[in-house]
Amino acid sequence: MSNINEKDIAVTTRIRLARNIASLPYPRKMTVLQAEELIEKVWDAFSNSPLKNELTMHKVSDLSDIKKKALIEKHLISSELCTSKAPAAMIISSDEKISIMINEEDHLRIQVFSDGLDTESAYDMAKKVEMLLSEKLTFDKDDEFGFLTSCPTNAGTGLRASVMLHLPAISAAGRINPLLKWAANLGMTVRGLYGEGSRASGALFQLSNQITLGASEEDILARFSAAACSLISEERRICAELFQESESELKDKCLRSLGILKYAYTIASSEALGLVSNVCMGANAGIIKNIDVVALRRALFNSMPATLVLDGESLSAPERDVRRAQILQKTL
Amino acid sequence: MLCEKCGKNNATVLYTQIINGKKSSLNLCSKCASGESIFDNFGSLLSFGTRTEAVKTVCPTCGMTLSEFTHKGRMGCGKCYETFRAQAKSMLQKIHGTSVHREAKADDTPAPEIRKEEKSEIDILKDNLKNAIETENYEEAAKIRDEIREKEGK
Repeated sequence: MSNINEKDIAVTTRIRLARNIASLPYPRKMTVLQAEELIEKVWDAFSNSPLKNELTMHKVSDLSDIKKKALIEKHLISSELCTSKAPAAMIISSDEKISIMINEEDHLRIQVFSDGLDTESAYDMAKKVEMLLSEKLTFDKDDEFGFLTSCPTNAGTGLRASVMLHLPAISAAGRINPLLKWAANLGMTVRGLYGEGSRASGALFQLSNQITLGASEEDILARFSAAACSLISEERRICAELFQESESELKDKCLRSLGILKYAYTIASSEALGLVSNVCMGANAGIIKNIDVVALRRALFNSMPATLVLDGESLSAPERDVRRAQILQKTL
Repeated sequence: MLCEKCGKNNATVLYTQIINGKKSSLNLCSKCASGESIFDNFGSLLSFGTRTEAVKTVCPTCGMTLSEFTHKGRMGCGKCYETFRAQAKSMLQKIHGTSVHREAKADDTPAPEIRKEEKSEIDILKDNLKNAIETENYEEAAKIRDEIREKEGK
């Protein structure tokens, strides 16, 4: 397992455990009463835990549309949770590192987030939450198949590890397709975070394990971390290669982006993704000094449309672009 | 005889359902019987046992039919894994390469991408040569030595 970080390239790690309660139909087949009772039971399970002080429970039906959009934008909940036929809910920690979805596709989706590439702390916390819940709830497990899930693609461990990676060099060198093939061979998948495949804007990709059955949770995480590390090394290698091949062109691209970020009055979200990507690449390559890449990225995510509206009063699209430019400039 | 499902049309099909080995029959019209169709997108993912029996299996807990499961690719409840065990097993094997969950950490299988280079053929032969000498199997050792020389000479 890794606690490697590599925060210049690895943005966030997410560990997700899918669990279901024995003898209860899955959310798609649950009655309203069963679904509501489960939400209460899950929330009650935290009642004697010190963790409860950090957590809040929200029923999806109580969330405003903009709040839902903002949570989806931050990858804290899925859009499926919001469209679940059964009454659904989420339990979230104040620092947004823990997010438990209740009655999404499975009864429980325990999600824990960590900064950089760090499966270790996220996994430890996910197991703590799982342990706490298992004191009050019996998870459905088969001797042969392991943990049972609504979709067989999650059965076994129910463990999905993901890391958001910034891969501008691999992307610019047009090496995304071989990467997809490489990941598939390792039982992993890579997808664009904003837009799919090679068109991913902001060069942000998500690597996650596909295989959840047949290996222990620890082994899945070890393989996942090794794959993530290989990808990070590959990004560094290609980045160095690109700078050797066309140094002035790339320097210009990075510095020009920095100039726009610093002085533009309005910045649309799609433009911001590209500009931040270029500036981060420049910072990683040592061309741009004194930039806090982590803070800049945080500002980028906090200035995505729904999050921006949620944090402030209702802003029109042009007003959001002005606010976004201001938020980003504060970090430079 | 009228269809036992809609009660409107003449029953022309005897529909047999087997749930956990318990058999029950319904006389249906062709319209109601066709509603139980098994043809779906996921059909190819599954290995049907006896098709007739599999099609009519229904999960006793959630009422999920095989047709519904294969169409949506989702289980209705944990009991579905037991009800459609053969199909679930086959599907899990196709997705994960196995259907057997492993709890314990493997101490002998490091992650594939950081696995050391596999031994070359010559290295294996050298190991065998060493073993042969150690066990005083000189005839075998001579053969292996020649084989190594031949391969190294290439």
